[in-house]
Amino acid sequence: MAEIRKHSLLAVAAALGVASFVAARPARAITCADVVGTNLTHVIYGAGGSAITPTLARVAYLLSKANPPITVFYSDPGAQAGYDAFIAGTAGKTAAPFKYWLKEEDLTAATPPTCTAPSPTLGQAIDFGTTGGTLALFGETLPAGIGQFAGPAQGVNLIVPTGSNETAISTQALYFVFGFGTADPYAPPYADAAATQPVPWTDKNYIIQRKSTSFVQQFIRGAIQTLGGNAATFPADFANASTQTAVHALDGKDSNQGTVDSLVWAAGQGKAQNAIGFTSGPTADKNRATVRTLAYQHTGQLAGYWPDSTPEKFDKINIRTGQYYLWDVNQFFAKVTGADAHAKLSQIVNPDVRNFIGYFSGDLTPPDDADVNSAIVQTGSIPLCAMQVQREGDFGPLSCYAPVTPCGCYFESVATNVTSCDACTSDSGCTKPGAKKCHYGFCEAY
Amino acid sequence: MKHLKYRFSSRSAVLGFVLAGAGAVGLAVGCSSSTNDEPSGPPVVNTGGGGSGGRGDSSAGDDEGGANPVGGRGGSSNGGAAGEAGEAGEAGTGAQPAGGSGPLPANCPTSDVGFYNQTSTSQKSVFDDVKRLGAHATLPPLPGS
Repeated sequence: MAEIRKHSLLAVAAALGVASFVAARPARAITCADVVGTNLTHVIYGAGGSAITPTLARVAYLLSKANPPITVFYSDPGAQAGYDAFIAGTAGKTAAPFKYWLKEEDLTAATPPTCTAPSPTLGQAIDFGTTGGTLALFGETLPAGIGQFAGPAQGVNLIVPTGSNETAISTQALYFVFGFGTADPYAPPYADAAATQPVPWTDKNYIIQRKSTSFVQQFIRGAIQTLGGNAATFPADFANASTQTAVHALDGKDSNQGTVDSLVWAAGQGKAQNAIGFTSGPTADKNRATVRTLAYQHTGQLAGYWPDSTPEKFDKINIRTGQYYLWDVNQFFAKVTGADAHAKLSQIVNPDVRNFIGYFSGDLTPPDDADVNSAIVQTGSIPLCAMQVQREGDFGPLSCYAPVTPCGCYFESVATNVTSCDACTSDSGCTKPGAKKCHYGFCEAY
Repeated sequence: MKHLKYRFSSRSAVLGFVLAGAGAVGLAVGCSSSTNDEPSGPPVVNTGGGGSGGRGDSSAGDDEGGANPVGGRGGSSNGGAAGEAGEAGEAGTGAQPAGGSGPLPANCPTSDVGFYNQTSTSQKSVFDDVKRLGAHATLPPLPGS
């Protein structure tokens, strides 16, 4: 008996030893220099928020295959953190490595491949920064020598698990949900007899927020602050009511995708009705199998609307017309020569960064083998040529916008695969009244 | 190109040894081969080309806000080299973009609320603040404030 127990002990010990070895083996972190090797050229490094990551990923993949190629490494620790890293010239440390997309499967992977700076303590010099909105969201201003360039527009979406019964939310509800959540949803003042159909989002364990350095959080905060009164001082950290995205994110990091992961986790806990968060439009679109966007009713609005004409479509018509409030224009930042006020693309120091930002903004035509505009549209972002409305700053007054070269028909054809516009190759092919100009392959109004 | 890296986990080995105890030599030597995590890079073709011309470099467009709906933020409106002549943008201040150079619609709303409540064929869903929020619809002070 003693012999058997001895052998059993040895077997268990050996198994534990092997298991502990496997568990203790550190993952090998490769450096971006390893990835670049001798094969990749025109390499640029960026840092910023994750709102644009799905779009940037697809554009980066396309450009990596283009002729000539551009290889993009992108660290997305959050808009402000990424921008600050760009200004400081350090990013890609172990805690916030660079993502890259050189294979088709990298675009659909739960987590794309990553690499770190050659020095995990010093980081990597950054060629461009990007944020979902303006620096004013973070109380920052543009320093000398840095130019700012507009990219595509994109929405900010309030999302719930697909199993939720909720369809809409208002600005006032945002103030309540992200300002009053509690671990005990039945404790006063949360049990409100005056609410005949109370919202289900009162348990802070399932109300998901981002860090205060994230664009989407500061944008939602700004939307809440438009209510005025007590809402005018809504805190940047949403500290009263929420659970940090990173707690349940698959990669343990604060990001737009992490919010989706958190809602999936909540649904897995049987809390689909109680879970809510916010994320970028491209991230929400990428994850429609697991999360659903709520219609948003801004203060003064008579009904809530989705970014798209229906929850199922991808036409972004309500962002493009200003009926959906939660949208902003992505900003890129790069080192420039000469005067930096209203800098032109031609002033960008790094020619690869100049091309990359120019392709994104639509100001430069990408290589024939890299359909950047299509990638932007397919990932839920909106080229400015498809917008019919503009806004001063992040929350300024709306006004109609008529782009120099409109691309609304092209946008619809790519985003929805359907357009009522006539296809064309030149203006002579556009014969219908009110659609006389050929842009991006379709007859537009002017 | 680094295809393989070898590691010896002394910590794991020691742990295995201790647990095996009485005459058992717990030797756990780790030899880990990294997966082929180095991506294949795109072919390098130095054509000297690229940078195709932009759709127009309207030098007049930089500060008009015409080419950039957020012109007040100092956006760009510069095309690439050798681009076609840019279409002139409307004059403006830069701080308040003028709205592009195209014709604005006659029924353009004149206020934010006008945009929010414009006629639409989109699906909508009404959120009733009073029914859903009760007294909280009046925006009481936040806890702790």
